[in-house]
Amino acid sequence: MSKTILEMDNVTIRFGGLTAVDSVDMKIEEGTIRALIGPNGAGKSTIFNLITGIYPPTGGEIRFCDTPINGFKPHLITEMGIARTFQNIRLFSEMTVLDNVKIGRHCRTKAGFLGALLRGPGVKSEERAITEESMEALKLLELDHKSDELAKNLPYGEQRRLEIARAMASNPKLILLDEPAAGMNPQEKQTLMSMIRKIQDKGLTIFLVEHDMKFVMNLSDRIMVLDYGRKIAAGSPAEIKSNPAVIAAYLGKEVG
Amino acid sequence: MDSIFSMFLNDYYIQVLTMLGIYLIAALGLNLITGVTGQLSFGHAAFLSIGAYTSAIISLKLQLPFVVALLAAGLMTAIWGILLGYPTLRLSGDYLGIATLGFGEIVRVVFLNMKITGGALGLAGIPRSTSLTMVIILVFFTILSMFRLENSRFGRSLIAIREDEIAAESMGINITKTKITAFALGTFFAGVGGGLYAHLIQYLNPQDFGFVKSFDFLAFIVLGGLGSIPGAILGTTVLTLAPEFLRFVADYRMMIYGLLMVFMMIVRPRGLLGGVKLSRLFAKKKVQTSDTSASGGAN
Repeated sequence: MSKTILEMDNVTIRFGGLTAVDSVDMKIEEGTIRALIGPNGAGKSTIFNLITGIYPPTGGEIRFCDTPINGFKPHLITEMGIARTFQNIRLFSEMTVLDNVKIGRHCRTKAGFLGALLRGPGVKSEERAITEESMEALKLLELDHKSDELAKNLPYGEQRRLEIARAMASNPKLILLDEPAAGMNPQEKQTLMSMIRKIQDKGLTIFLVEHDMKFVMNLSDRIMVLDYGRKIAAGSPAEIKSNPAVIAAYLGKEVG
Repeated sequence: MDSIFSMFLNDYYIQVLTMLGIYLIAALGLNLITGVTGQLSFGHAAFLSIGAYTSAIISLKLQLPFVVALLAAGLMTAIWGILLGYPTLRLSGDYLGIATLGFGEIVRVVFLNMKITGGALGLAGIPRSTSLTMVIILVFFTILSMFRLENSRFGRSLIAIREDEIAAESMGINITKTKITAFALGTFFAGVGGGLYAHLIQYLNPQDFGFVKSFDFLAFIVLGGLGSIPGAILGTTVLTLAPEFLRFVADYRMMIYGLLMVFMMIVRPRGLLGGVKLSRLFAKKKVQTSDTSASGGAN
């Protein structure tokens, strides 16, 4: 059994009277692909927001590589090695494709405003390295030929891939993909799947939320199912397919 | 060099051009805060006044050289920028605007009631040390600084914050620290502009740095195109020189001003040079050739 990279221990978050995530336990092993599924409003994106520090949990503990990360600021969590994409694409739309990815390198580099003003040799070579590494991330997602375009001018599917490239540029150990295949046609989904496999081959752990069941079943090693903030099932794709609780949550219970 | 200017220009034009240079420095500072980083500030004139009074008091009471007074003006203003930025830059959009508006009024009232600033009588007898040559050099220095800041790792993080704060934070940018740094840099240039202003006009009165002046600076950069260095320069130049040339219709000045703004919002809502970047202007040739080679490859 490989080592655990992310662990959620009894994690709960309440917004006023609403319990969006209710005592969720989870362990993700390094190098695997984990999917999180559930009906709309089940709390999937909220779990992502908890892990990346956008919301601090009301209770419980989240550990990344055995370090508790509760209440850490998002930028610190990214620095530790968790990167993410967003369900409703959040690119820097007025920036070029390359500059978007360069932002991903931000937490691995250090030139400040004085460096910007003085432009010493160290700053220049750092900037060259940023460009090279960013181009590499773009190549991985097959976007390198579009590096000079503004992000807002990319077609939808490529914008989704650019988000992944930007996340990859931060050298993460764990990458969270929030509905990466949403709005893509079957062909684009196939390409995306092979790209996610390539990312896994690089030794990264992948945690994804997705509604497309074919996509999820083909790709993930293990699946967790969430309904009304509670974990109702977890297991391999085959186990999940035949789990009565999951079928009830998605299709409703049989009468009588 | 000043003697060369005075051979070709009369005192009036020299005064107007010097003033334009000072406004350019301050407006480029505001462009970094509001245009590049996207943080609305209605208090820029207050920062100008902090720089103006700081440098004036240093020249009058301590009789230190002008360079020292100018540098101190910039630093003092940046310190106040940080002090204001620390609590308020957590606010977003309109709320930050209101907080900076309040700060601007506080600064004006404080200067109106302090003994060392001369209160409502103002501060007179400041030596005239600002020259057109010096202002031109400082304008070039400011443009170079802004260009370098924007085209760097630091500048990218500023633009990222403007474009999407949550995404910027999730990509590893410490947004509070970055915003405060941008605020400090922008106010530094306002402070230097204020120092130059004090040593040009030779008399300071808190009433000259009210809300209307803050709004003027915003109008400069909005007209030119938020976040664009050439835009800020064009906007400031047009709106500083136009009133001088429109003196014969002085009574209708505000009306023309207002009409111009309305017209602008309809025709070019992003400003005259909105989206125009210095680096892109220079890189245009390169981009074009790479475009043709890309399409050639596709065929």
